[in-house]
Amino acid sequence: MNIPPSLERLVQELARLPGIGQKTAQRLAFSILRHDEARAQALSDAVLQVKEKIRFCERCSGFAEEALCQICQDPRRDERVICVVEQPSDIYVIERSGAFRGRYHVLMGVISPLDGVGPEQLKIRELARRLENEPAQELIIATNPSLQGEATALHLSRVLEGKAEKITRLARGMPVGANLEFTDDVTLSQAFSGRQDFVSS
Amino acid sequence: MVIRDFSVTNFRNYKQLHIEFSDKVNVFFGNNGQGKSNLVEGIYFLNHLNSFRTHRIKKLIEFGEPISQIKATIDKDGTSFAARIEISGRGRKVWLNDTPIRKLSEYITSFYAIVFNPDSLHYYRHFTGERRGFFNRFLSFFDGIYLHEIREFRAVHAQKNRLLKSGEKSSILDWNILFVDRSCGIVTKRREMVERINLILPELYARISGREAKLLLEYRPSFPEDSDTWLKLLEKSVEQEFKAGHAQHGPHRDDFCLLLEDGKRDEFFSQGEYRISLLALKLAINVLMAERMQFHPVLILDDLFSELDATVRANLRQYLFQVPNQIFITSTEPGDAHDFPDPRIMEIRAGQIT
Ligand SMILES: [Zn+2]
Repeated sequence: MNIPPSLERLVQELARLPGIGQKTAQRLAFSILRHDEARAQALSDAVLQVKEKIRFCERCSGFAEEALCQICQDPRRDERVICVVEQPSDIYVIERSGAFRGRYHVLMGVISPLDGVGPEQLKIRELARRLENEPAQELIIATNPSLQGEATALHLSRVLEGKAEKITRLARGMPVGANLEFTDDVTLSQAFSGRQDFVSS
Repeated sequence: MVIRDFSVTNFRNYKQLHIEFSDKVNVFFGNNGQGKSNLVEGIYFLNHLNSFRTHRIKKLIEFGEPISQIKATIDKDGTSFAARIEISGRGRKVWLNDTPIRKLSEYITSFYAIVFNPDSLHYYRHFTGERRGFFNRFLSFFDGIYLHEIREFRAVHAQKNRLLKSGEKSSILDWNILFVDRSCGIVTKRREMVERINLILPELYARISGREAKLLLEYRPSFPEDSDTWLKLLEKSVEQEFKAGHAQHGPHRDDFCLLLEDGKRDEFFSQGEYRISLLALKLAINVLMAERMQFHPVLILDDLFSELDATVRANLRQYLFQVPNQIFITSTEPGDAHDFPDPRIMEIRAGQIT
């Protein structure tokens, strides 16, 4: 196929996005091409601005446009309950379910020796410090039910023991091998209400 | 299960071959080096998607050819399956009823062949990994989630080994907890399997060997089976394991041993004793599958009869008369099977049925 170079460049950039194959990338590129100038400008501005404006919340490492994210700034959120997630995007999966009204802490990954990630590379020290400043009634560990997520949960329950009144693990009710991102809202809210005390065997 | 018809293309020394099998006894006879073992290797591959003679499946492709193919019709539980396997430099591809099988584990938990062959005996006798592999394969077939458990364990094992190599100690306890957790199911299932086999094995061995002594299978786990005790042991050996750079205890180090009632262990068995013992063990597994799963794997007896003395040969024949399995026998003597009821006898010469 002979696609003009500038169009081809857009297709290739789109195809680098997750879940977008060559065919979809082409369809998206043709659609963008049919837009008027203003819409195309809006799209490109949005892409640039998201990189320019979004940073990580100083308290929870979630996405923020200011020092603190919207959730950390919201006085209606229960600051005595902290939900620990792997990635900033996991926050929005849980938010969509509406099952949780506390605050978050993002680890920025999971313990995985094969990927060269140990506890030191994660925001665990930050979490420990945070718990000292803001005593929590409950810490809910919502890492994925993968081996790495499980190892991370075990690790957190060990090193944070005594730093929160209660440490629970969110996993029950979730299909084994499932990823938080692909879990439906009903299952997720069941997982929240069915969470159990952490017993490190 | 029964293999109805079978064909291979560019497999070992077979350019092209098509055979229709008897659902009872099939005999391939011919001089050595004509391709009898290659043929039963193909039948084995059809069931296990690997070979009992080599781990390098590329060797199965006829020299100079890019692809080798195995096709068969397999009947199981009243259903007929058209199986097609392609072996190339890039690996194996499998189709069942023209549908490509993405998870090969789905395929290999559907079919099974039990093989007696001099090479497989050699590997089984001399390599612990081969013995674990043999029982892992059986348990994956026998127990619906064993394969999943083994995979989970291997994933933890790989993470733990990488950690031990890196020297990073801060998460070793977490991985050890998971390591113990993921071993428990495996150990329990291996232990139960050995117990079940031992309900069958002594009598079967006596019947085939004609001897008084009883044969038993012994499970030798490489660690304490109580998970608390084991975790404590792992905690104590942390330094040692970091020094070694790999996990020193675990299901990956388990072993299985045959022993006679009088205490004689298989390392002291003569070659003849070992052959009969392993034969009895494999037939015990066949009985277990029949009793617990109402399943009858195909039995492959490659070059076996010539190695047995007259008494054992007669006992074995008598035993095989009454099992419902489809049987494949290779021999240099067509006479080895003539007293089986209605055997299908085929002569193999230079990669051809004559
Ligand atoms: Zn925040």
